[in-house]
Amino acid sequence: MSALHSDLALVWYLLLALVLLLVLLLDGLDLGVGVLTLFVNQEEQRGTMLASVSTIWHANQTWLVVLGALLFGAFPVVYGLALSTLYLPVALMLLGFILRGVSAEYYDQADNQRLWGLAFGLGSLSATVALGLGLGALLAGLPLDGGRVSGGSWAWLSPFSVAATLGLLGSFVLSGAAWLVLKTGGPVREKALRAVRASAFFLLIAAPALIIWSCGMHPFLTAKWLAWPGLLVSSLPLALAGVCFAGLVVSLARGWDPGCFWLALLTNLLLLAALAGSIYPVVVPPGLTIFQAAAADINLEFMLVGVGIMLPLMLAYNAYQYWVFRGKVDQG
Amino acid sequence: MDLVFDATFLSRLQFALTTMFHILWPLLSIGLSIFLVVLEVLWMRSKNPVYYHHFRFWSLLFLLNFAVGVVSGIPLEFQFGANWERFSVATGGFFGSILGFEATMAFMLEAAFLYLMLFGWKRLPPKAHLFATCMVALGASLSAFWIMVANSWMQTPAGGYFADGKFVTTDYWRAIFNPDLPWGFSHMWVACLETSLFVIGGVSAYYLLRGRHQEFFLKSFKLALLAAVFIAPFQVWLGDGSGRAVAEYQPTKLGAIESTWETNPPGEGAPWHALAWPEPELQRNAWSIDIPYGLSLLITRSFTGQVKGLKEFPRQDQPPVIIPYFAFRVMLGAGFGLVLLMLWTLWAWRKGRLKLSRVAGQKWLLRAWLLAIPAAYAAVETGWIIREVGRQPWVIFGHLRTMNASSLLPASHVAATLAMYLLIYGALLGVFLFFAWRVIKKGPDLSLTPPYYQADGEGKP
Repeated sequence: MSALHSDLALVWYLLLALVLLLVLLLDGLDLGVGVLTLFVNQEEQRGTMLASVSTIWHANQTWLVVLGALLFGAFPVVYGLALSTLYLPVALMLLGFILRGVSAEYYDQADNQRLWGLAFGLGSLSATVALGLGLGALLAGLPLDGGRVSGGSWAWLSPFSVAATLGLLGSFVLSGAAWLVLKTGGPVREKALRAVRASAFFLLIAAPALIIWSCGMHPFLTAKWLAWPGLLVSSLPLALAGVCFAGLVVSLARGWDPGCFWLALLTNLLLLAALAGSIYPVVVPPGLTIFQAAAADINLEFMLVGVGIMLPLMLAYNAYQYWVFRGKVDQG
Repeated sequence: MDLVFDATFLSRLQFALTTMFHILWPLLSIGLSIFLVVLEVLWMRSKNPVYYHHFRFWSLLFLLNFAVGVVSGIPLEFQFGANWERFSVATGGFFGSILGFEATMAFMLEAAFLYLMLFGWKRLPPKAHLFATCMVALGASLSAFWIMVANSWMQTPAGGYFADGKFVTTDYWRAIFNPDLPWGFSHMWVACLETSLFVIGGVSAYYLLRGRHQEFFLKSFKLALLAAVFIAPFQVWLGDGSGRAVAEYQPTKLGAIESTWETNPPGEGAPWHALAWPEPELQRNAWSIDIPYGLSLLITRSFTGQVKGLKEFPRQDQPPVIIPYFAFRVMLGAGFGLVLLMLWTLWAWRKGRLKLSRVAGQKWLLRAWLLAIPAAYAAVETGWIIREVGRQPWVIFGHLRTMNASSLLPASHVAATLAMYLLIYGALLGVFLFFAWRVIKKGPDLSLTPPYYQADGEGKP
């Protein structure tokens, strides 16, 4: 294997990690709002919650499409392996995205808004659960047997993947609730504050537990956490997440909405970064590394030029979109 | 042969049904997005609020249509990995990177600027809003471009070679601009424009027929007609070019489209089997109505040019014949029907029958425009059936057979997802028709105050 190939594989690993983080943070935010709508009874409040994400959910969700397509190009083996092994969770995820996508756009036109609001909430929930099951199963590892996954087509369902789903649900609800604190006022904001508190404390317990559990499953992870530079690299984000969490508690107490939002987002980001950082360079545990799974150099290079130009542009106009629709949403 | 419980067959059925459903929506998104740009420019130049009201009316239909297009399209990307794992692994480096370009260049552009266009009226200055509308249109068409690159490459793979069952890219530009792409993309993109024009014209005709908002919809009706004057004949020309490209690069597909079994001997012309009953198992037609020299003329522009028959190729390399053969005749009929309708309407205009006072009386003409909507969609669907079924038994023409491309899945799982898609896509179609019908019944909202330009013509950001 040439040095160029491993460099390119590393660059693409980082790029995909970045896009995955964007999916989990940004789409996590509107999926979290979707899940939270299930806990609201008054249609007016649900309408406000939906309005807070109406201009951004679609672009956020598109990061997932970007992730899928780039994974296809850069690591085709992983793409084929992961999606065919996770066949049923993927179907559940797509079902969820279809439901929430169409109800998000049709909600305003509908007579029976309760029904469409319910579809949005259930779609968000099933997409989140499916993402959690899929990512959890990938993290738990796909035992490869001569290039094929052994363990049958239900291998994705395990106690760990269920636990990971709960963790992801907590993370998405935290982002979504923090977004609602930032974007709304009145009773919706009050409810969102309570959800931020609950989900943040849940994550405080769930995130370390999931990390310890992962290490228990994969000796290479434990070795990395215990060795010297690895310990620093992996535990630093975790320690910072603790600091952000403390800041979040203070913001909640002081009623400082922007602080609440940004610190909740940062806490999520750091927790996810700790997980992504510790698993490198394995892409599908236990055995498949990015160097084995990467596409040919020419494909990686060509894609890198295209995506290298596009990614900053995408980030820029996405930020512009958030900027244009800044401020609290109109009530009612 | 236990076809029904074969995972590959079920995956094919699933991909065919989901793509055939999905394609209905981007068609209109692509054309309508360009129509919206035209409306906004007309409004900015004339400051006439009628164009603003048109924009708001058509953009509502655009949104309803776009929503179904997006949600029905996302499963396609994931099907490559889920149902077609061996295809994904064999082609991923190149094919996946093309989908990556689609997502990063086109899909995101559309997703982000759509809401600036729909909800940004009060928050954006006029030029920024026009820019957003243009970006939505650009995103929609760019998306079509990259998808057609991927599909064209499956028809005429170029720019590399296959080693150990995997595609090794050597030249990206040749792979992207593969021989089928110029014809494939332009034929499809113009099909989107043409379908949209006949939808715009057809919906407008509905109001004219009912005598509602006549002045308003006579504008969009005439706009659609004027564009159709260029687009409809142009599409016929592109179709002819595509046919000759198919003859050159995919002779088996041409054989299936025309149900031609024998190669014409030197000095004799190949007849065009205008109508026939193909019998693939006997490698002949049961009967046919022929136009002598027709096929040679169409394909080679000479009376006796050689056109290869299907018998030249081994049975296992021949595509199914019956489906492409009849699909082609439906497409041809619909395409020429639209040209005739365009000419008929033009003639009626010249005779002064499209005046406000007389247009509602043109019952048959307007009814024909209503009929043109399903006809235009039928032309596109049958076009894709020809394109994809005609490529069989290959998924990548000449290199990878469809049966070697699917994932090794339990058939029951594929059957379950297939049932899920049938159910939910059926529901989506119903929901869309219900909401679109309500929008159309309600008609345009003429009470909306244009955000920038008031009646006195002064610009105000």
